[in-house]
Amino acid sequence: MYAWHFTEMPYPNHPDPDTVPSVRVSLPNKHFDPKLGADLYNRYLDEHLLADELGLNIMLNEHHQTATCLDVAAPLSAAILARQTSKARICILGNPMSNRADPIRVAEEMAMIDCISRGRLDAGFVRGVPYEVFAANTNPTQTLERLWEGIDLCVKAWTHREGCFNFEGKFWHKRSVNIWPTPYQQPHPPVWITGSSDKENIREVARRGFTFAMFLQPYEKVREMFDAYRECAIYDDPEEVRRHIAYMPLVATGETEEEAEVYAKKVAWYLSAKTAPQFRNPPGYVPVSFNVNALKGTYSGRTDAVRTRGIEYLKEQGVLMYGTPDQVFEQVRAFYDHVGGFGQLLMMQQAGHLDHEETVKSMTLFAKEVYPRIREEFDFKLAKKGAAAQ
Amino acid sequence: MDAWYFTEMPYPHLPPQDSFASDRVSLTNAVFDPEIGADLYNRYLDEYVIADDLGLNLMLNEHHQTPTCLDAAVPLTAAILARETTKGRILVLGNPVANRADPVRIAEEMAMVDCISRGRLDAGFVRGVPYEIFASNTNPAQTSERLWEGLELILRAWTTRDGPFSFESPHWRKRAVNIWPVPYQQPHPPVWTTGSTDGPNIDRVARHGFHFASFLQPHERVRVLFDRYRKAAPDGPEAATRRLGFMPIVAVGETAGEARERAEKLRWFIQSKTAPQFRNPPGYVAVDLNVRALKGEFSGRTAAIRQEGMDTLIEMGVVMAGTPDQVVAQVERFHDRVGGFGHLLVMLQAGFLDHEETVRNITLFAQEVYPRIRHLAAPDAPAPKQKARAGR
Repeated sequence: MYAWHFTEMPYPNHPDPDTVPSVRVSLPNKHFDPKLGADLYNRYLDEHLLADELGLNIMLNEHHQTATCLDVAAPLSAAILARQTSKARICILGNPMSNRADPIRVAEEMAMIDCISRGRLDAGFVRGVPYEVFAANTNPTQTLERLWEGIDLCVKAWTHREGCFNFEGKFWHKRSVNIWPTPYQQPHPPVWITGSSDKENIREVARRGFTFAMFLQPYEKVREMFDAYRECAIYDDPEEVRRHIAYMPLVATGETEEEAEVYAKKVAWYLSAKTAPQFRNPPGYVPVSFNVNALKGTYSGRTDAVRTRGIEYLKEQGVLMYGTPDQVFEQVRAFYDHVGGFGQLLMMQQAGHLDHEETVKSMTLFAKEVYPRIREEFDFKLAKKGAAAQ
Repeated sequence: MDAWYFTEMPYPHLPPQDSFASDRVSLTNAVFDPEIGADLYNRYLDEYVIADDLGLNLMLNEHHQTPTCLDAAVPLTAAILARETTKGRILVLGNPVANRADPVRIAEEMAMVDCISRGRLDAGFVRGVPYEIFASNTNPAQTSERLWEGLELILRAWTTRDGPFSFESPHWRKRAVNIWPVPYQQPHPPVWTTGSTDGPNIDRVARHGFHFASFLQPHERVRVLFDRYRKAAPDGPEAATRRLGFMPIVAVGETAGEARERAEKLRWFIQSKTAPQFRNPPGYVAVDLNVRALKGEFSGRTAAIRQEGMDTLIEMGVVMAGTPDQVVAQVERFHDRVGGFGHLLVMLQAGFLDHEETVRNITLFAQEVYPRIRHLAAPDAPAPKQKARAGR
């Protein structure tokens, strides 16, 4: 099992969520102080460098128009870390392929980062969460289609070596693609996709041999989705399958339970950041049946149940793992058992007002006291080492 | 005068020139070896850091589908240098707004780089050279329009603070723009653009107070462009001159012979070929320019300059090569011939010029030439107030 340090790079010094309609999309950027922003960017990047030193991998993502995430262009921070780290793998999870306007540019950016890092990139692609539709002004009913067409075009650009090719898709038309550079890794960097409810989509991810990741969901839900992936996975070796399954909780490791609880409350801030109702469910983003069920009251959904419950509840569900190193290890193990196993632990170890000192402490405790046990306990016993061809 | 170090980050290890039709666009990427590519990226970035240490500013650009330029996404390298350097300013020249699909993303990327660098970004925006049309599949007849429309959207995104705005224009429609972050510099980073033939375009650039740069052109040509800019600038020719930039290829040697050899290696960049079908996509230049071309009025850079001998290139000012004394003299001469300019963009690496030689070239320039040309056109003071909205 590999562990990946992650932060959305928040700007937590915004007005109290209770005093504004929305932290995402519409919170005016006058609340962003560039001097503080500059400090935060450099601090978060420093923490990623520390992750590299500590032997953790690195995960990045991007979001737009929100105080919850200053990393508005993940390829930029990935490029910086490609250059400044030397050991860690760097996973972008993910490039919002549905909302970005040109998959070829994404392919070029990823190839560049893969080269600069000498082959340490894991390239993730996502549909983008619902509220992103407003910033991008893309058609919410088309996001899944665009995601897959974009991925197809990107992978072709990465791997085509016989000169220019053209591409006539539903969303993109290119007359002569011949990208320079091409990726460092052959045939291309490992691809990751996220998901939360669409089983057909998960099966497609599995069939292509991509890694499947879920974030901040209760373990029952996660079990269901991981099972769907396992059903259709193309790898014969179950350990290889497991290597392609990823989960992200919030993680806070403290020297004592009290300290861990302080950290946990701070990182749980992430779940309290609100998105005004009009930005949560753009028409067509989820299928009709889903909306019908919602109107029937079938779902409480993460936005309500998880947001308003305390950290104890979040811990029970596996959304937040916190405690002393022993306790965190036990929670990882319990989650592992609940969900039928997984191979990549993505950890949001910084969020909200968790300051630099606290973040460093939590990361270091995890890396030194929890990770070695995780590596041992959940070591990949691959039938054929390094077998995964995608 | 400010000097800005530049390389296009080439991948020079190509098959024999006569075995393929075009370096650009269509030379198959099978030629690209990622191990070598990785070494080159890191080496070029190291050289930028050295240039910064030596007191030069830094310039980057992007090109697509070509071994002449591995920097396919300039915001990435700008971000790296924003993080790795501490002193120099970082000029992106430029973001190809006309060929990129989303100006708001460009605005976001530039704001992020500006913040990470703590306000050291100079943000350039370009139409993109003709051969870029084929990689991006944009409409060549619309590139100028797209550039200006995109610029307007970028400036509004950078400077609107009171919540989401919408934007309806022929090329882009946005419903709720409210970028996080915003730039570090207020109201926004200095804006640059480039140009070579379009007179009215130069007027427009000048009226907005944007910096204007010309590359690898003979001094007579550059004089025309710079005079036009000065005439149209609202704050007078002296202030305008400080916003003008020119890029020659520069080779400094301990001896004239060494410099000459160095210059020949750098010349690779001018020699690189673009097949005819990629040079003039229909509508990229105005109709009357095409008519004049068909009448044989232009030799153009692609033919004449590529063929010229080194002495001619030096006489034109396209190449500046020699001992430090000689290069100082050439810079001063060019400066006088074009009526003055404030920014010297120095292509000090190209082609097969290796790491050791590049470092020598940068060092000689930074230590023996730069101090002696600083006084020309007086360096940019606090950047003159630029219009916050691009318009007519």
